[in-house]
Amino acid sequence: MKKANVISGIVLMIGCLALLIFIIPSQIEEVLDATVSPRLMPYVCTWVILILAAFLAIQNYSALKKQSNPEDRQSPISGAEFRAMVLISAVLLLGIILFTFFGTLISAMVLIVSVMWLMGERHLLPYILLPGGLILGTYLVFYKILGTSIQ
Amino acid sequence: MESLIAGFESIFSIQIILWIATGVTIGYIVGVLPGLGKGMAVAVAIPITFYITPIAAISFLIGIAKGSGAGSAVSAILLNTPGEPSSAPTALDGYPLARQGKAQKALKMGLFASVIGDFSATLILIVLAAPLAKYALLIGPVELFAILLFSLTFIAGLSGQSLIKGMIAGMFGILASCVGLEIETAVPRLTFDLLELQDGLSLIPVAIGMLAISEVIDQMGNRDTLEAEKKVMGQNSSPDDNRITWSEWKVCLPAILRGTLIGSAVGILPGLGASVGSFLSYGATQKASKTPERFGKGALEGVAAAESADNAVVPASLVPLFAIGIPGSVIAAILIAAFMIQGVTPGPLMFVQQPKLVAGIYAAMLCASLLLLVIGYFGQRLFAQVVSVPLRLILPAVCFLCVLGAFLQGGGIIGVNIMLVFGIIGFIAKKFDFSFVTFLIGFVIGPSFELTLRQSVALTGHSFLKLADHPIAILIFILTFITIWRFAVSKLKK
Repeated sequence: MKKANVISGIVLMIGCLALLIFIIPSQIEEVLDATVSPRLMPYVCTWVILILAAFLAIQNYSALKKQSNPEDRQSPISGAEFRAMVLISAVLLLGIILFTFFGTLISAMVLIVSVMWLMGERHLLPYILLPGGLILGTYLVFYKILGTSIQ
Repeated sequence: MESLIAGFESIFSIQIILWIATGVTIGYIVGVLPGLGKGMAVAVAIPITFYITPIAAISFLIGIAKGSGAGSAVSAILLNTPGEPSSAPTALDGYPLARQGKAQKALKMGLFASVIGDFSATLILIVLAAPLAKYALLIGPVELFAILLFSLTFIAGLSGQSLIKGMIAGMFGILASCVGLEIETAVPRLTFDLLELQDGLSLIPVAIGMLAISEVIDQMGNRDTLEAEKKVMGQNSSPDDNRITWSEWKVCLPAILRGTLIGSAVGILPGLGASVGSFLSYGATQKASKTPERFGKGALEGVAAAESADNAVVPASLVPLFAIGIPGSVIAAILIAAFMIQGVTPGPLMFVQQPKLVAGIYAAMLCASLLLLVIGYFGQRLFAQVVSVPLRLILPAVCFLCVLGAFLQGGGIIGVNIMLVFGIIGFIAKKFDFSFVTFLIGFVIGPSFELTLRQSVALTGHSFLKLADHPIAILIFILTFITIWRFAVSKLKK
């Protein structure tokens, strides 16, 4: 975890510097006659994170130099977990795109079926029952009982 | 007492009892489903209350809130996916217990602790609401800012292995809460010219992303290991694994009482919320324990502490609502809408103008606590069947419900986008041991934190010397520094 801490500290520092130099000045207008500047809280948070991230990186780097076990250098995210992150993000993005063009029904079906496939489900019956049950249940609760639209 | 008896008389009709029972059952089921919390359940149910009497409507909504608070422990214990952020500390010990084949024991303790915490806090509400109104008014912005800072520091120190990482997560949460129109000048902040972000990031999609989607990714990445563990969860070695023994009650009762008191105190203070209560209670119980090293590995009193505080917050958060008309929590804020729909204005005048309604609400709340015990106890085995369902069927359903929740409560498709972004951030934060719970607490208290800071700056006229007029705030600031120092020293020693 020490190596991961050094890396996360550096990444956070870069992010904070980007916020301080580019993002906050361009994204938050300065108002001179305000009691407290609208930039104050974002600046305070970013500066605190920057200082803490620097401390985290330096502390773990020096600890890593003094004494280092193999587990200190291991990545906290395994290959399978990274794949899962990419795949779930892709499925959700696909759902969002399908929702925009084809509406609730198609996007919900694709979302549920894709996650089932990714999770290793290979029987036909669950592919009919689970999406059908969930979508029908949602339809009854939201459209029929509560009268809420999901469009 | 007389008015309370009159209140019971007003709710003792089949119709009202049925509404409360329906509310508790709906709340419990919604609570069980990861990502769908009491805020969403109560908000979605408000349209139903248009057609029923004020007492039935408010009792129904309070029933949902109470049921959901208790139900969220089920998914926390069985799936390691808290139904709500406030159930996150329940998962810390509940899930290890379930993996040891003691899921029923953890579920029962979660339910009993929830009911005791909820019932006791309702009694506290009944006793304290009116007299506390005078004292609540004394908490000014400077004191509230000090309390919020102290809470955030304390939680950052308790969660995760590193104080620095906890504080980074908390500050990142406050930074995320800055997105949207600034309160004083209406200047858009960090919206990247997206109109949808001008109202800020909605809590529900952020919480669903950080808690549920990150958990879906994690479980998908480790599905083989988890499927093997789930088989063990179903195999109970002895009857003692299914029930709570007397010796366990003796260990857990002090934790429940402590949790109830902490939850009630946190609930009464506006802006802190159930997550703060459950984490403070969990931390205090761990600190008071003779064997703190058992916590996080399946300590039953950890479940008791977290659940009692979590459920004590809901009734206690109605104290400022009833006493001074200020909502102490998201639920209280949503309930204001329900009160207004029914033609009732929450606040001190409610006690004078509609004493019968107030007494009826108190009676309905007590009744809901008892119904929660009955429904939870007899329905728990049914709800706990989620354990026997394979992950390849649970996770697609969870994913769908998360998207649904983010869509409904996050203002449409933008909510799903926010959920996805915070799902990835939450997963990375979890893997790198940055407490996502501290992040969420920072995010929730962020607006109050900034508002009270602004008010404090205005009150003190940009002068630190004026802080001398606020001795309570100074005391809390000193306490905050001591807390940071003590946490830093203890972490360095480790």
